[in-house]
Amino acid sequence: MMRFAEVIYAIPYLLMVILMMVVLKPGILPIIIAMSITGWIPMARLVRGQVLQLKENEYIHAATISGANTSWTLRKHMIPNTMGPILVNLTLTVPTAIFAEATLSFLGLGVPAPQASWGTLTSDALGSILVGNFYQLLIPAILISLTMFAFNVAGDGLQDALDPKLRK
Amino acid sequence: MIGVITMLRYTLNRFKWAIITLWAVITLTFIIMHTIPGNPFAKEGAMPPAVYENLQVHYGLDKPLLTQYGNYLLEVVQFDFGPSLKSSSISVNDYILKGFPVSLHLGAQALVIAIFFGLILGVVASLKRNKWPDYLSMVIAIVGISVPNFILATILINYFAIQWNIFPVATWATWQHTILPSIALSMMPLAFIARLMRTSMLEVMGQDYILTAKAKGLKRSGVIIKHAIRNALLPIITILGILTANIVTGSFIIERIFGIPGMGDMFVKGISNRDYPVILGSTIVYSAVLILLIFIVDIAYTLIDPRIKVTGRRNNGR
Repeated sequence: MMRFAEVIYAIPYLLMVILMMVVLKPGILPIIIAMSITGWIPMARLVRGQVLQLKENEYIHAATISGANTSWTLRKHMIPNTMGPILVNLTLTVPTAIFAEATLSFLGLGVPAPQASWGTLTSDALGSILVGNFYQLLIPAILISLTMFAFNVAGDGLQDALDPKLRK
Repeated sequence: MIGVITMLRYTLNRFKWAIITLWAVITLTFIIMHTIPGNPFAKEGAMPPAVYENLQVHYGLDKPLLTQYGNYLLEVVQFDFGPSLKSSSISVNDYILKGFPVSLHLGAQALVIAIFFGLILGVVASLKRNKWPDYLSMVIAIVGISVPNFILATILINYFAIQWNIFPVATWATWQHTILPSIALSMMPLAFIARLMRTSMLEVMGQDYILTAKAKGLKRSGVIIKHAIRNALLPIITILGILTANIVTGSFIIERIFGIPGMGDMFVKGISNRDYPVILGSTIVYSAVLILLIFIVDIAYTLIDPRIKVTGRRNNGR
């Protein structure tokens, strides 16, 4: 399974999502589906790496020797210890998804016309900067950037807060 | 020391997986493209059934899917991506041959900018930790990550091309035309490199061998260049593959905004025309370039860092 994930991982995420959107009908649900089909892989790799690393720790061996079974070790040690990186990755995935949606809308593969996303707004505004209506682009651009900024900073902060080794 | 035989076996194994990955990409895109309801000629409007049948036969679309797949695989192995569905005179190969050098130029230039300035920002930030150069570089880095490249591109066009008239845009003629798109494309990877280099440098500077180097009386510049930067560079090499993927996907939009006749532009046009051979062909070329690069990085990495133990048989390389 991981080998399969490695193979998929070598294909750029955005390329896969674009290909999916060519096939699926435009709309919010298909975008979510397309992103999830390829988006689970980085998370799976992260959790796998984390668990492989945790497994070799002394306290896990100690727990096994003291008679803990697999489910107990999983519940009491593995899951709490992987929660940190999972949360951090989660906050950093949100800006990636926003960026991907904006890109899709920009290519005309995003949400269809009556609905609007910040991506479609910037895409529509592209023609109007030549006429001098720069503010039409500026407002959705600032909103996208601020949201991505906020999630990135939150992710960084969480990373520092949840990793005791980085605390100084 | 890594034995030559082990190294060779490792390389071969990695190569095998690179080929398998490429095959998976081809198969996957083929399946995706052929599960589309409707047919690629739907946009042409109503046509007599005889014409439609002839078109189907001409492009081999009347054969069973498995035969089509087999034929396609055979053609791709011979670097033949077939005819474009939209213009009968130009094949996908022509498109790729025309667009690839342009995209390569743009991508390479962006990557060089990203690596050069990213490393400088990262190193300066780590050496002046918690002083203004550190804050300045990290502000640049966080802006680079937060502002999507198409927004940066339009802002650059608005000021540098329309308002102040410094750089020409909207074609691909002289070197001046390449500056703005390269900057727009390089911002995100630049920010990634700067942040990673800063963390990596801070970690290396805290190591004992840096203390040793200082203690034996090496000059500060010598310590930084010979010991710190060299070791701090290793994580940067690992993310080169991801950064290239970033530049490749970024170029779809950048090329479209700036009107550059590259592969990204061709890919986007292929999507809006539903020109499946073009989409398939460019996806395969993009993936092949990436897989090749990741392969080179993996091999180079084991050669550069002696601490990485190569076990050709057990962990399949990663």
